[in-house]
Amino acid sequence: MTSAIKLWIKSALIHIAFRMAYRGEYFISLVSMFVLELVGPIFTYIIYYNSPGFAGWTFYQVLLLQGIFLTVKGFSFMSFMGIVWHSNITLQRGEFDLTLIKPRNPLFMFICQSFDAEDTAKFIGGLLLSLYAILHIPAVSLSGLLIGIVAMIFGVGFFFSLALFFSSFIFRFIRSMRVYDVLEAIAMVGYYPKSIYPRFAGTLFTAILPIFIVAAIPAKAIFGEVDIDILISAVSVIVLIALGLYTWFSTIKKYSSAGG
Amino acid sequence: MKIIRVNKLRKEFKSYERGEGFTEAVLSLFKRNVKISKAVNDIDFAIEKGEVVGFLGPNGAGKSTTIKILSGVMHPDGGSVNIMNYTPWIDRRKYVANIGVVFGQKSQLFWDLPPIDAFYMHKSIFSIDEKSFKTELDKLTKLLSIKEIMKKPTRQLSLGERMRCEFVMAMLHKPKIVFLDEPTIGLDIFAKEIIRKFIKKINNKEKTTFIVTSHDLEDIEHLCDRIIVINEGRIVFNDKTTKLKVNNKKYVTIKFYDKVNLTKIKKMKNFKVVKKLSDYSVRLEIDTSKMSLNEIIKVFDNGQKVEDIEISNPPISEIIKKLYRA
Repeated sequence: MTSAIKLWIKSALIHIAFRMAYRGEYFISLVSMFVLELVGPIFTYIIYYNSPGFAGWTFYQVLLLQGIFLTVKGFSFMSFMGIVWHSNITLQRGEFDLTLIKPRNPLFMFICQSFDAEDTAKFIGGLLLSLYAILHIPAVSLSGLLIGIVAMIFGVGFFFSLALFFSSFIFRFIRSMRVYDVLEAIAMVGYYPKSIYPRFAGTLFTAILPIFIVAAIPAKAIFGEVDIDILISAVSVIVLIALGLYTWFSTIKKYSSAGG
Repeated sequence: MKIIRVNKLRKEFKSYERGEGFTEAVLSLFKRNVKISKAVNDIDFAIEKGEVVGFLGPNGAGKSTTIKILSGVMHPDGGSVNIMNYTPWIDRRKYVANIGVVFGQKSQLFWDLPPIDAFYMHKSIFSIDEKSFKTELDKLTKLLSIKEIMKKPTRQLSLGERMRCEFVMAMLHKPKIVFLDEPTIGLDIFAKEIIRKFIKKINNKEKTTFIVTSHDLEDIEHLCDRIIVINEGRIVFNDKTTKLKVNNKKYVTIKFYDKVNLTKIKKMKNFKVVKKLSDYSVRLEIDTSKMSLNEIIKVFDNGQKVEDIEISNPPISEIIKKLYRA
C-alpha cells in the first residue's frame, strides 16, 4: 500500500514535471482552466439575483454546492478520470502492452499514467470557493462538515465508477471518444440542486445514477440537512464501483493489442 | 535447464470482412462477415536458460502474437506455457517482475523528460531497492555509454541513443529473460553494433536468456544460438543457427577477364544464375552434392578466362525466404 501511494505521488510529480517542460503552455492552461471554472459561479450569481433562484436554497448554499462540485470533479479528473482519455490514446497506439509488462495492477498503472496536472486548478478553485461559501453560511457544525466530507468521498467514488465504465467502453469500441461528451453531460447534472429536477429525475440521480452524491448531498449535509438520500446514494456508488471493476477487468482480459 | 516450455499453444483472431464501396460500408453496419484466423496454431517448443533464440517469420506469421503470450500481455485460446514455473497470463504480476521487454517501435521513456526520470520511475514500479538500483544503473551506464545522454530530454536524443536507454529500462530490475521485439529497427550500423555487443556481454556474463524477433537477419546471425521460424501460425524450423546454413548449396562468384557470356552459362547443367553482378562478373548457385568445387573450377577454366572465383554460403536471408515459401 505504501509503495502504491509512493508510486502514485511519483507519477503525479512526473506528470507535473512533464507539463512544466513547456512552462508557458502549462501556465496558460492552468489560468484558462481556473477562469473557465469561475464562469459557473458567476453565471449562478446572475441567475440567482435576476430570477426566482433555486427553490429552498440560499445563494451561498448554491455557491457551496458548486464549490463542492468543482472540488470533487477537479479531484476526480486530476486523479483518475484521465483513464478514459488514456485508454483511447493507448489502445490506438497499441501501447497497452507497456502497461501489462509492469508488475502492478494494470488499473492502478493506468491511474498513475493518466494523472492530469491541469485539473489541479479546478480542484484548488473548488476548494477555495467551498471555503468562501462555508464562511458565509451560518451555523455549520463539525458533524455536518464530517458527513459532508464522507459524502464527497462517495462522490469521488461515483466518478471512479463512471471512469471504469467509460474506459471499458473505449476498450471495446476504440475511437468512441464522443463518450467523453456524454461523461461531461452526466457530470453537469450534479452542478445544480436536486430541487430543480422533476421527481423521477431526482430518484434516478439519487438511487440509480447517484450524481447528487457529488455535490448536492454533501452540501446539504454541511449546512445541516442529512436525510436517507446519502445512504441510498452511498450504497448505489458501492454497487456501481463493484460492477465497474468487474467490467473493466473482464474487458482487458479480452484485449488484443494493435500492431503485428 | 529448460526455462521456457510451450505446448500446443493456440490463438485465434476474429476479423470482419466487407466488399468495396459505400453500399457495402452501409450494409456492414448491420451485417458483417466474420473471418477467424489462426495466428498461432498448436505450436510446441522449449528454450534453455542462457540461450539466445531468434524468432523469425514474415509479417502476420504469428511471431508477435507468440511473444505477446510469452510476455504475459495476451491470453491464448489453448495450450500451456510454463516459464520459470509461471503461467505468464495467470501469474502476470509476479512473472513480469522477472522479465524485461524492449519494443523497437514502442518507447518506455518519457518524451519530454530525461531518461534518468524514467529510470527512477521504473525503480518505483518494480520496487527496486536503492543500493541494487544504483549498482545496476552504474553498470548499465558504463556498458551502454549513456552517462551524458541520460540527462537530456528524450526528444533531443538520436534513435540509437534512445534505444540504448530503452535497454537500460529493460535491464534495471535484472530480468532472467529478455524479449526483444525488433531491437535494432531503424538504427545505423554503429548503433546496431553497440546493441549487439551489449546483448552478447550480458548473455555471457549473467546467463540471461534472450528471445529476439527481428527482420534484420544480421541480428539473428550475430546473436542467436538457435532460430525458430514461424509461418502461418506453425513452426517451420527450430534448430541451431549453424544448422540453417549447413546444406549443399553454395554461392560461386566468378569474375572474368572478358564480358560474361550469360547465355552460355545458363545452358550449363548444375548451375543456377543468382545475379549478374556486372558485365564481367556473375553469382551462381550450385549444389555441391551434384558437382564438386574442383569440377566447377575445371568447367570455367576450359571456357572463358577466369580472373577470380569466390565460394561462399548463401546468405541466411535466402534460406529463410525459402522456408517461408515452403
